[in-house]
Amino acid sequence: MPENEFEKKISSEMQELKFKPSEQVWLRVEERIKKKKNRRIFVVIFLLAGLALLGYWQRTNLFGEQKNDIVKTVQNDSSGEKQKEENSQSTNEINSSTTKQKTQLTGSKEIKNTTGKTVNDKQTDSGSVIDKKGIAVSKNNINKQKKSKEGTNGKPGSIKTKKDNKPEASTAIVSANSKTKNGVVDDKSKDLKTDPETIAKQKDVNQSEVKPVDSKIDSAKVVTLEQEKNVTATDTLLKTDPTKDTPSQTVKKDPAEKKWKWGLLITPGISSLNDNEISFGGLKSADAFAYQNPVGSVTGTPPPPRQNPSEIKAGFAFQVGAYAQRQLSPRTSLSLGLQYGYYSNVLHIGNMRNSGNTQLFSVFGRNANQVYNAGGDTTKYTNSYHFIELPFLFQWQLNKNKTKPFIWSTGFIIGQLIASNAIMYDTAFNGVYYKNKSQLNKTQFSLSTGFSWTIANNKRVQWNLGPVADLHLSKLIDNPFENKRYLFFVGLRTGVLLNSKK
Amino acid sequence: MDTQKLIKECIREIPAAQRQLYDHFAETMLGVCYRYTKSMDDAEDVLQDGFVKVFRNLGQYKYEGELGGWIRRIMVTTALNFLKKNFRYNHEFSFDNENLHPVTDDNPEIKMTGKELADLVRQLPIGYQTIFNLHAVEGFSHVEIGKMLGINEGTSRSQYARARALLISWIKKNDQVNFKTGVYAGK
Repeated sequence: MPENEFEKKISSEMQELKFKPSEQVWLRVEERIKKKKNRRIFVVIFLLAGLALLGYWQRTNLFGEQKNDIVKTVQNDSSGEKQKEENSQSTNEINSSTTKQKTQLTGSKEIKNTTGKTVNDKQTDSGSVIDKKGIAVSKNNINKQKKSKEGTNGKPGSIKTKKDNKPEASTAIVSANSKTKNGVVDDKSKDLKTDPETIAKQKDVNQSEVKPVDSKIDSAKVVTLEQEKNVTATDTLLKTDPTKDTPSQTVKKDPAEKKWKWGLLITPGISSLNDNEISFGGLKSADAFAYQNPVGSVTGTPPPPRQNPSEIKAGFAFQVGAYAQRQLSPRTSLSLGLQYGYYSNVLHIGNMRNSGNTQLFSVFGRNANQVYNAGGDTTKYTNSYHFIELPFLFQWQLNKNKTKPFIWSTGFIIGQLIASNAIMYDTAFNGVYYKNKSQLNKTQFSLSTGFSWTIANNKRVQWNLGPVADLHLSKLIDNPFENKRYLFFVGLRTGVLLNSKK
Repeated sequence: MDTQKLIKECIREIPAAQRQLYDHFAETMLGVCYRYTKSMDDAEDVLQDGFVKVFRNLGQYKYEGELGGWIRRIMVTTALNFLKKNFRYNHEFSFDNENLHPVTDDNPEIKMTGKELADLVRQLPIGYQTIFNLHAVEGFSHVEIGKMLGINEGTSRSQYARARALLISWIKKNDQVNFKTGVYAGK
């Protein structure tokens, strides 16, 4: 600081020095500010495009090769003619034989099915579906063996011959042993399920602070120095004492920024199920081919057309929960949370079938009280899924504004399904929907990404708002009669972050 | 002028507010830039760079201390960067580790205006000029100056002492300085 009159005089005279700048200075300043603004828009567009490409790449590479077993089997089935012949006997015929089968199968503890595997006569809820799937996949073998077993009515094998050629419905009937509600196939059919080997690679995110081109101006330091001195410009004259120089000019980090901050969030939005592409509704052409074409007859009487699975439409969804956030660097942070997630999708299906029907009971067991015809548009059914989720998100601030940051967050969510009323498609009875929780994959792993803008920031709380998208990597529905379905959620996240006290 | 409201509007990038802020501080800040450079064109270049930084970083201003002081700091830092980057200055903008030069107690009477004094300071070599401005006018300590310029504290003290001694000698030879042109005619 100036220690004598000379410095004081110089300083007081120089502080008053003023010059009027030319108008060109402002014009150039204005131009550069606008350029910066435009550049920011391009950066956001670039990031969004990158995000979209990343999402597309993940979908293509992680799920691109997954196909429905049933679709493959039906398309590759070389014994279509035999199948048509058997199918022409229609549902009524099957139903009539069911009564016979019940008496024939009574008392038998084990039934050899056409694949050579053993069908255990056990009571489980999910057995019928697994049974159906197993036989449907091994259809070619079944057809070969059927020839040798023709004419052996009255034996367990002959019953299965009919089922062989109409695998979905007939298998269900096999499982509907008169003494049991459902049967369990103790074979290796489960191995044919194509479990998605999805390994999500998290890219390293460069956490280094992004500095502006002209980063040599350390604004933070400027501010800090200003705080430390806490004097006006004129006051600084009095402090210019070289004998009192202190090495206190390092930038002090705010310890409050390193602490965990707590917040609450609510994210209303929509969710749907998709298979190989991110879409909200629409049946893939492969499905239509698989479910419509194979059914036919060579004996003259066309069977009733099998109904396709209904179109899945997006439904209301929301997430609500709490989270803790910790600053990793001035621009990056990590957040961990606990949230409840409600997701739904809508199906337009046909009427509910008579729950008193013994055939339904024999096929679907205790689930027979809520069976709907596939196709039609008389019933609007909402599949709902209730999850408890643990999100782990990495957040990266894209702008430099400390009070109103614009943040890109990405990470993963582990979720556990706690309840659902979802109905599943089954080709039995020419296409029905029924409840079967065993086909739901209860543990879900999903990727999450989103942006958030801080819309208000005061000393106590920070309000932020922004879009978020969750893409489930684990298949939600593993139904052998449908493509594997993955949950997808988009919403508008509103969060409040409690600023820690300084 | 409601400074807080003006700042918020500038953060929201409202052009009228940005212009108002510029008009309010531009003249004073050009005075700051003028002291650190050798020409008015360079001073305006520094002013331009400085205001761009001000508008880009205004969100970081925490309303602690005067806004004018905060902007002044940015202008000073911008001026130092300009001197380091600009060839006309950077070949002179080097500091040798010289021995500590004692500060003289000589306090001549100054009858010059601020403009005249500034012109006199601008006649100093760029290193002397910078350190003199930082210490005598802005009030930075030699430790701070050392960190800002990447030099030793002792070097800063020495340079300042030499600059001060030179200025005092010029002021004493006041009749030899043509303040209208700002050109030192001594020696």
